Amino acid sequence: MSSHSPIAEHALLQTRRQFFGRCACGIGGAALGSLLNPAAFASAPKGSHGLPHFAPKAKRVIFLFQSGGPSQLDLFDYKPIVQAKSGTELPASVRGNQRLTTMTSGQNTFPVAGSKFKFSQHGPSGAWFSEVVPHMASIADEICMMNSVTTEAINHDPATTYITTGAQLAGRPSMGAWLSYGLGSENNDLPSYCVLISKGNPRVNMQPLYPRIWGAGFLPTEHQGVNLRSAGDPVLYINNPPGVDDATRRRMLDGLAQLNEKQYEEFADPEIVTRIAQYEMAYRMQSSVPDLVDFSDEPDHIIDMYGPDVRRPGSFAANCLLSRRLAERGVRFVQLFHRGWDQHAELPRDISTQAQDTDQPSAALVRDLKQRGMLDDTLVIWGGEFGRTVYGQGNVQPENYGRDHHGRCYSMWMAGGGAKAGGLYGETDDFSYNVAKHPVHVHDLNATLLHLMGVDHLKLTFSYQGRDFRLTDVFGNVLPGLLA
Amino acid sequence: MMMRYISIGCVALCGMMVFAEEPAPSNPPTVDAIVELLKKLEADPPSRAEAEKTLKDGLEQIRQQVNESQPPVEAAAAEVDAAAKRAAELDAKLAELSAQIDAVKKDAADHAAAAPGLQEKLDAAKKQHTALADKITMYERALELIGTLQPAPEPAPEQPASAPAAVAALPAVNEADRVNYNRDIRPILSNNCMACHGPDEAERKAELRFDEGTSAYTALSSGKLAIVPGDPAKSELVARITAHDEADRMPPAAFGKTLTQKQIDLLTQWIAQGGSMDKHWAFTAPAPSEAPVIAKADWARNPIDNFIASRLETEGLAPMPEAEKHSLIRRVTLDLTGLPPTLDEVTAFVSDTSTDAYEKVVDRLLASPHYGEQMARHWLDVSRYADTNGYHVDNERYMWRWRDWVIGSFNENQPFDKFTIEQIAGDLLPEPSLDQRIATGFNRNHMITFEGGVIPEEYRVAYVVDRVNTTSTVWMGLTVGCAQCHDHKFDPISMQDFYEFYAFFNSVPEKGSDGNTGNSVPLMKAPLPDQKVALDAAQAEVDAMLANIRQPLPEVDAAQAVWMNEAADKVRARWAVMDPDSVVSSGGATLKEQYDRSILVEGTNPDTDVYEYTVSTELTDITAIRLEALTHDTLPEKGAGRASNSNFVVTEFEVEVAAKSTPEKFDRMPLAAANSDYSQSGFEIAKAIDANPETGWAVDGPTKKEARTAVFVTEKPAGYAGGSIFRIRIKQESKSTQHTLGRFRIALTTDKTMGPTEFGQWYVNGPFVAADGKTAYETAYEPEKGVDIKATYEDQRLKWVLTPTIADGQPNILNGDIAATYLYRTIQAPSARQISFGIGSNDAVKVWVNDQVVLDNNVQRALLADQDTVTAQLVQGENRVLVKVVNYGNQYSFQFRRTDEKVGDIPLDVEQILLAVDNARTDAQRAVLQEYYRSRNWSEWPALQTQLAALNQKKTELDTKVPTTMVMAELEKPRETFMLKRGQYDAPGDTVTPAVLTNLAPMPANAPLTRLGLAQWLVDPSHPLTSRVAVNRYWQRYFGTGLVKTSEDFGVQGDWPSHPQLLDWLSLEFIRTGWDVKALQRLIVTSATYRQSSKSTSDLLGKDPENRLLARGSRYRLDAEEVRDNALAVSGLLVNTIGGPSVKPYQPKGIWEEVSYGDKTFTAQFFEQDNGENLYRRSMYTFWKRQSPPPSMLIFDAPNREVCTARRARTNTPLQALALLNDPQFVEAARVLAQRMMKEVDAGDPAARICYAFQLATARVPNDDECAILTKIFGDQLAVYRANTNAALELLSVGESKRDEMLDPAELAAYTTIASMILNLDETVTKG
Repeated sequence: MSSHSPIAEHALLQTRRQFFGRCACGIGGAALGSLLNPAAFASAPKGSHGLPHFAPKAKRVIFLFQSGGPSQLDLFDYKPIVQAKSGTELPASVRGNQRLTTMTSGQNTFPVAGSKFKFSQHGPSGAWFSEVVPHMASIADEICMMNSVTTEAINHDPATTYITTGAQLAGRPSMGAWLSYGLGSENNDLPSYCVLISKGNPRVNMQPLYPRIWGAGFLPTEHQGVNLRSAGDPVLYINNPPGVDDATRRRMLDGLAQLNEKQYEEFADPEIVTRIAQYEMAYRMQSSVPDLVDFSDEPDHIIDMYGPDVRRPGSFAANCLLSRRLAERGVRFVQLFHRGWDQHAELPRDISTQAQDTDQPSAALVRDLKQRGMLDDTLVIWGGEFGRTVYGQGNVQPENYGRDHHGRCYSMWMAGGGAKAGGLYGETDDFSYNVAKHPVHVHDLNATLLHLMGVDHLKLTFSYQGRDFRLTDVFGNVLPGLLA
Repeated sequence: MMMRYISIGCVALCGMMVFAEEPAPSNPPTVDAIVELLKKLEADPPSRAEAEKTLKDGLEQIRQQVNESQPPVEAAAAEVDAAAKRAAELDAKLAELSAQIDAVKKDAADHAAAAPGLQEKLDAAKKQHTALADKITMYERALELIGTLQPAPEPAPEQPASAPAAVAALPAVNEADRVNYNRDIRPILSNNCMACHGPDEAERKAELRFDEGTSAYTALSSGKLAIVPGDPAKSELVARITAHDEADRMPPAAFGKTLTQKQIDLLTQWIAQGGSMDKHWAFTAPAPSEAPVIAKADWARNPIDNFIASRLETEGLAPMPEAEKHSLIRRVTLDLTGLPPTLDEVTAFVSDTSTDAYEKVVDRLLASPHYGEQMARHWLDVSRYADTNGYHVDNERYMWRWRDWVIGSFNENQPFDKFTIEQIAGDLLPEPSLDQRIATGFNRNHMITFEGGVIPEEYRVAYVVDRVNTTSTVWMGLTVGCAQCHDHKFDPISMQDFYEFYAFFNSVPEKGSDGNTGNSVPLMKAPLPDQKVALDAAQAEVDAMLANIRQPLPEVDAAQAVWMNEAADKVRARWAVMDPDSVVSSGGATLKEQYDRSILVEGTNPDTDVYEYTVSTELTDITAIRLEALTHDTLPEKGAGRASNSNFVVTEFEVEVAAKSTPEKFDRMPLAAANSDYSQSGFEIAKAIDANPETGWAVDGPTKKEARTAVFVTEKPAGYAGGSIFRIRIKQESKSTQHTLGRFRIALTTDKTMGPTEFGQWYVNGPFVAADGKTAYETAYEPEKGVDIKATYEDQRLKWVLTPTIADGQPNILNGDIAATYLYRTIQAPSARQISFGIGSNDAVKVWVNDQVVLDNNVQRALLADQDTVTAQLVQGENRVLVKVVNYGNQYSFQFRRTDEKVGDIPLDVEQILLAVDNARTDAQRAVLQEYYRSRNWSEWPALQTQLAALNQKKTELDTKVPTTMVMAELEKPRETFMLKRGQYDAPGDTVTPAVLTNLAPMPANAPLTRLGLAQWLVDPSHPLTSRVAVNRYWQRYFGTGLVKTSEDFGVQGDWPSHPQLLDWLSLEFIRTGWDVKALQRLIVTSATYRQSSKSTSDLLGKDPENRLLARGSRYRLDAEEVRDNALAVSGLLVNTIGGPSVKPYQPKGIWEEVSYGDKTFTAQFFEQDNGENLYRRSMYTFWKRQSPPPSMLIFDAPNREVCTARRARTNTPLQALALLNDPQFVEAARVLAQRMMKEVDAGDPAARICYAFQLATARVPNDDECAILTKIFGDQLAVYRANTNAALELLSVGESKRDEMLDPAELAAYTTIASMILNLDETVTKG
């Protein structure tokens, strides 16, 4: 129906906002109580837009985003020829006429840099893992390894924006915002999309993060990711001011509700009712968030599984455990950002440190979900915005080399949530420079992720500036080979 | 649906009783007859069957007439179509066949002349058709009415007082019933069909389009017709959208969209009604219309109200009465200034009983400087204004001068057309003022990257695209961005249109990768008025001092003349000027030796030429050859070259030598180096000895008509004992034809100092890892104690590695993180000399030359060329250079080059000037000589220099405080614009030149094809969009939603206006008043529509929850900035200074840092909170970091300002509650408000104090219930804080301002609780 008649338009929208339900009877105390229940963060209740489109495999996603571009050549994509030809010039036929970053496009030579690390095969598919990620290797049975992820971007800002929003330039909603918008919230006192930024080894080259990558773009702002912080208030302004105790706060809220109700009686504006509900929601968050971030109820064997770093708030390990606790509470999408993989120089030293920070906790998270029976409907994704070049940046020495950004192929893995356990998908050429078989474009990855959440990526759209936008732009295919 | 019409219909029928009767029994009964029937029915219900029959028969007759009227309509339409088609064909021919222009023009004119007549015919037929259709409706209603009367009819209702209004309402109802292509049909077609049957030619299927043209009405390749006007059954469109077979059904299943039954019905109905396609409403000029006549004529205060009321009457709604006065003044004050009214202002207005009391308030507000702030605040969103660059590192930029210009512009009520022109093209106006140039910052507010590794062109293209998208959205409400990669799917914008538009913005002298140190080029100094005054004064002082320093000094000057002659002789004596044996032009020019042994070239000037100059000499150990390019009166513009612009190019300077004993045996004589006193950029002297015939030495001949000197240094001393013959070739073989030398002279020297220095390759040793940068810098590692190339260090882990990849003049990445690295090289000098290096480093750097420290800079920074310049003395023979570069973390790099070299006492540049004869010297050269001489021979010089330095220092200090701002500028030579395939920067296609979207409006006469012309086109009154889009955005500000809801999209996919005639009327009114912005705001806020009460009823809410019809005043939450500004103002904390650099009020710790790159060499990485007044400035001045916007703004739906935002979301979330309750700035505001309560209201009565604060926040007196609720809580809290003074003190300690210690802490804390509640009231954060 066209929108020429606001009245007619409203008749269609009514089901969404349910004004009559709220307004018809006025709001006495009893009615008020029943109003304070619905999902607070997403005005679209669960199941709006006809979602999910089909039965989801995954109810929630934990995306362990590795910012900076982890080297697939030193972690997962083992290449005997690279090891054998280390130090020799990368054949021009392999390199092709691909564009390079201006950090290495001026290099006269492109010497192959063999990995310093030893590799071994694990799991039913025989996926390779280097010696720096033994814990990940130990969960090979659960992992679906993708060695053929590919992107067109070659620098951090565009590449990160691309994989998280489906476009290289700013302005589009992030993946989590799309999910919040499409699927709504599954819990009553936490945001449906939470972001955790972990604090790694401070000496490594940490790329900046761009909050647009968890932003709402042109979707309503309530869908943007809420950053749960490890220092200060976990959620901004969650704590009462000093000198304001719980009883005072309760008294204030009761008084506010009474006053706002009077205003409602006079103006009949449903937004007033919503506001009363949101104040109550805020109150509930104030008690649920501290409980969420307090690990004291976790038994030792769980704590130990995540490794010693878990006791340091804000560490990757602590955030992995926090991710699990968020997942348990029904948070739809948790995105954890860990920086420090941008190893243009001194890669062997720095990647070892990075692996120390991330290897054990990542594996522990998968194990922990598994033992709780949550892995089946929780999708865990591990990877970054691109990989790294097989050729060295600057001098190549056996023990010391660096690598530039490389988007043509790189590795990521998924586990649980309907992803193929023990799978190995896609191949690269002998130099891990080009995809040889079964590419996983970032759009395909996102389409598949949405598919696992029960969402048809073609149908989750938002009309803005005259166009129906999607996370996958006008691209993307669900890749059946990634599915269990 | 019909039920709703009954009462109206009845009223209408009664109202029509007064109309004259219509005769003829063969015709359907007249209105009067029907009324008669009704009356009769009233008296005699059993006569119903008879009445029904009469009406039914009449209905049948009319239907027949309608059917009969259809063919003429179709015939007329066909004729019009045919004529239009013919005219179009002829137009096309016109363009192609210029020879036939006259004949075709005449033909075309004839057809065009016929068209209006035909159009009239069509219009008349349509009108008749419409009239009949209306009658049908009326009859149907009458029938229905009769149905309701049975069995016992109610008495006919009273005739209402306002009969004319009821009559007016009738056609409106009909209007709503008729299908309107633009309103009803286009959205369906656009959403479901136009992707394949629309403007995008590449995607078009079956040659069929539903947006324009005739393809839908003419036979398709299948032979079928998509649309048969008036006959849905024969229309293939209907067949396909209703097809049962999925293979046939449209839209195709794969397209993923299906039509609803309602949509199918509408399409069918549309075709039944003729199926005509109108041009999209927004692409045709606004139609003038009279304000409609309304029933409640006295309600209307201006024409806006007639339009609004007319629609309300149609819908059976009535406007709300005027809002209560306190409510009204709060609303209008917030709307026009973004701040709440003071209590005095409220009281004054409430007690002002004059009829124009409200208008007086409006005029006061429009004159307030805060009006400009409020208007500008909205403009900042569409302009994507921010304080950081946005991409990657996201460091600081400085655009507040532009922001303040916007505020000023609104306060001065600059007309919207000028406002537009200055922002888009202020720099292109004749003699643009500083303000006009600052205004162009609008198109520089886009994001800019400085990420290492980016390909600059990719981003430069992105910036241009951003300008196109933003300009189109802001002024035209068009999303042209789609056409970057393909023809627009919905709007008539082709890819070529896009790139022609793009070409306007493509010639900015900018860099794709920029913004590492604040503003990016192009930028300008933008002094504030007081700075300008101070700077001018400082400049005057400097000028006076310079005049003093340069004043004639007879004695000193006489001595200088003597010195110059002597020194010149000495310099010249080092050179033996040659007398050639022969000199020949390969191109046939005449070469004549002059008295001074120079060679003057005359005669023909070939495109390319080689002068072969042969000379014999007895000299040996020749170290250099000098070429002088000399000016001459006979040469073009009295320069030194023969090109018409007086330039020349020496592409190669080649020398061969033979011993006199073997005069035929010439050997090539290698040249080691070349120096010159001047080179044109890109034509450096070294290019004359690079063996590349395409490159060479040139001297900016067009602007500099001066003698030039070049010195070519031999690789080793030349010349045979017993004499040599030199053969020198001076070549001009460049593409710049005729750029030959006009006059030249050759000299030789045996001076050993001429030999070049020779730089050895770099050895690298490191990284020497340290715990931190400071330690690395301060530790003297082994290499500092003496370089031994063969030594090893740190347990043999480190050694000197010869590293040829370290190149001079470019950045070199070093290995390591927190560490020191040493670089070492030797320099061979043929003679002692002074040398200068330019050094860049990330981070700290220390340099030794021959074991002496010449640079010691413990700094943390990003690498740039020549960050440090050092000068050192070289000894004859080997010299040692050691460099230590220390990294504090992250990027690690180093850059090095030789910048200058000097042999002997007199610097080379002074020597070059001395070589020229005095009258050939320029003023600048004379000044150099004077300065050189006076600095050594005039006793007052040092003192005067000290004074001058002080004055210069003062000027520099003033100058460095002058802010810069980014502006638009044009390259001298426009950049070529290509259509980019798939929109990609590296896939250029055909070239295009700038052009506007002429299918919207023609380019105004005489408008240039530049941004200026583009701006003039936008504000040309014939442009259908600019004024509509602007007034709609203003409307949106006051009512929450625009008349067109999609204020960013007026294209085909945008929403249909709620009040189309009002939108057009307002936009024409805006143009008519000369784009008077204040007048427009005044018009809107003084309307009765705006002044309505915002109270609602559940009935009204049910019918129109979004309040699109405006049967009540708007009520919605304040914008983010207003929420905070309101709290600051109510509490009295607000500092309302206007403009200036952005400020950093409270925000939670660490939120920048957790997303920052963290390198201290960039700005805006670490948040340093301001103090004092800056904490309480209006929110529009809060520092806007794009990658971490102020959290309390973001929580209340402010955009992140990455891209243009025409419309903010308005959400209602728990995070907002948390911010208002707990954010220190609101807690502090509550406490300061509590202090006001206690200090400004007499003690004793808490209720009075509470009432006061309530009034400050809401402008109204709370009622008893409200007061009682708050007073009760105050009592409870007072008890709490009396029992726990510490808690009270804790609460009162929030915020930087100190609590008033005269006040009792417990009481103040209790009032703070109440104040916080008041600031949290829905009413406080809502404009109602």
